[in-house]
Amino acid sequence: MQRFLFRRFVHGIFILVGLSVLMFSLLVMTPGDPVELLQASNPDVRPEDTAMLRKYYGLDDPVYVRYVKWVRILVLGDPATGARLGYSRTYGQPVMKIIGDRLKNTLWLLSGAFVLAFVVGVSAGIYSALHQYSKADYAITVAAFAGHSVPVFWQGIVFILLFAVWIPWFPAGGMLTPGVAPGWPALMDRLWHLILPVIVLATFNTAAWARYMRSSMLEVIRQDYVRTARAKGNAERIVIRRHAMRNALIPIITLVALSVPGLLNGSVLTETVFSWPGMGLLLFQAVLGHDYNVAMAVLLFLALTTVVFNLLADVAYAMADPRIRYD
Amino acid sequence: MAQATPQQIALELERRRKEAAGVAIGQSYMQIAWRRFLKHRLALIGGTAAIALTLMAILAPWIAPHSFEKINLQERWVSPTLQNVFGTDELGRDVLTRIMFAGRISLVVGYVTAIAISISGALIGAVAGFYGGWVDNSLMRLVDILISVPVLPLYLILAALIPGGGVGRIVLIFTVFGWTTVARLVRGQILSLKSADFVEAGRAMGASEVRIILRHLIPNALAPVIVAATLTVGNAILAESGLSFLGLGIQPPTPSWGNMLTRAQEYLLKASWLAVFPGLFIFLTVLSFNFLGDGLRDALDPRLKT
Repeated sequence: MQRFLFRRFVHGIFILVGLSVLMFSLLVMTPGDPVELLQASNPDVRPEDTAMLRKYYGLDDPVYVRYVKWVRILVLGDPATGARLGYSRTYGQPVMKIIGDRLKNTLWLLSGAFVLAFVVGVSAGIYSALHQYSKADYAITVAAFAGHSVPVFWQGIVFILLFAVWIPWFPAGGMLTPGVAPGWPALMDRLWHLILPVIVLATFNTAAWARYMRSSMLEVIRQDYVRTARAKGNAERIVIRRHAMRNALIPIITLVALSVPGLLNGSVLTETVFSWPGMGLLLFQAVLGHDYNVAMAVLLFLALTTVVFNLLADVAYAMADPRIRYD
Repeated sequence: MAQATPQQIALELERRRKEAAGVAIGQSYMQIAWRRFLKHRLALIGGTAAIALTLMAILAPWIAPHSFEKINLQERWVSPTLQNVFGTDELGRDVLTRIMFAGRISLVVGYVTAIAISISGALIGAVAGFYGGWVDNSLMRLVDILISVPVLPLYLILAALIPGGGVGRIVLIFTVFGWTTVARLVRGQILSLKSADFVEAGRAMGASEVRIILRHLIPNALAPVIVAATLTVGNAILAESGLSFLGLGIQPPTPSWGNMLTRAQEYLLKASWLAVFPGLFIFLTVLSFNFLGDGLRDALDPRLKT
């Protein structure tokens, strides 16, 4: 087990390094750079100044030199100030500072969507499986297909139209109502702003997990050990909860980990629609604005999240299913 | 008829058992698959809708109720009426007509991506599965990396990297990151097929490796590829709409369902129909292809049923 985990850990690090090389090279190769943007926005900048800036930022260095420089800033901090991850050229602030708040906002959104999708998806899947071929099963299946097929940004727009414009229950976007007292009211206000984006972001995964849970459950309830549990005279509730559901959840663990990249994709679009100041929106702006340090920091965060979740899934899998031996 | 012999009874029992399991006797694989497909009601609906939407896109120039690019500033922001069923946009153009033409682009993105991904994925998967060793290892590590990243950020970067706003660019981006699923499926199939007797026979008759891969292995691994390709049509349309919504996909004046929605949010209060209808078409199209793909999976390869 330990050896397996160690191997997976090394594997994860390889993936991270590989990805960072890939993303950095692609990012740096995008046409245009911060100095060109500066020139475009300020015609008074003299050519010798831009030349100096290009040299100072190392914009004309070969890609690998720039990558090594970036890694040095990542590990050791900015040579002048020691700021990890360097500075944002758009905001003129340390990347850490910009990321900090954005990260918190994104985590609110992601964790909300994750929990919602898991609870609703798994319950709907179990219900569907226990009532196979009933009207409810049919309705859940069709709803799951719909959730699987709806463009997340359009769902966001329609939800804003329905629940913020036509029936003004929720705010149309943003994160806070200005002037709300801190503490309890502020928290409630935050949750109130979270509801629509969380539902929208959760839809795809709710649908996916409901479908997998249904088939996983259908497979498990036909197993002998479930029949045995029933034959022992256990209450149906206990048979389902303790014997069937737990086993049916095992394959879902891997699925949940594999769903993380998709959830992050969705968050970029959800944050854009709801003007939610999170990592997704930041990444979008950073890529377009050639703010390499910020873009790389966000990308690294996304890659790290997926790698960590994959590792967690391996551990959870081994713990949940004693039949699995990794050595 | 006289008393049935035990053998006859056994045969009859076997026939009834197969019939009950939905396997018809004396039918080819395709006939069986087709019968199973016809029983899948949602798949039939999905397939019909997919055909209808495709026809709508192909026939757009002939059946569209209005001119596709004629600007009519007197009739801007007209809400849905009998004249303009889905209303008009900020330039007075008929939204239904725009949707029909945009469908051509969106569906082409879907179909071409599906074909490109199937071909590249099948070839890569076949090579990995057939040759094994370091080729297989390095290709599968690459797959590991590609499936563990959120692709939208990479799409964003690539969209910024590759100039132009046409269909080719989008298809290229989707293919570069999308071949992994098909490659995995085909590799798995090839691994289980490559020591099969018919492959050995081909080899014994002196068939080249390329011939064995293309003629014997890939055709036998086709069922899951067809299913994956069908689902890819929907996914590519979905991904295109997301990218175009962010302003990085298909660029105007070429209309796609996604870029019709780019500014929809600004106009939400003024003209909600501009936001609702193009998205509805994306939704219905993707839904149709997902139903169709699910039905095909059940029909072509019941073992894969989820």
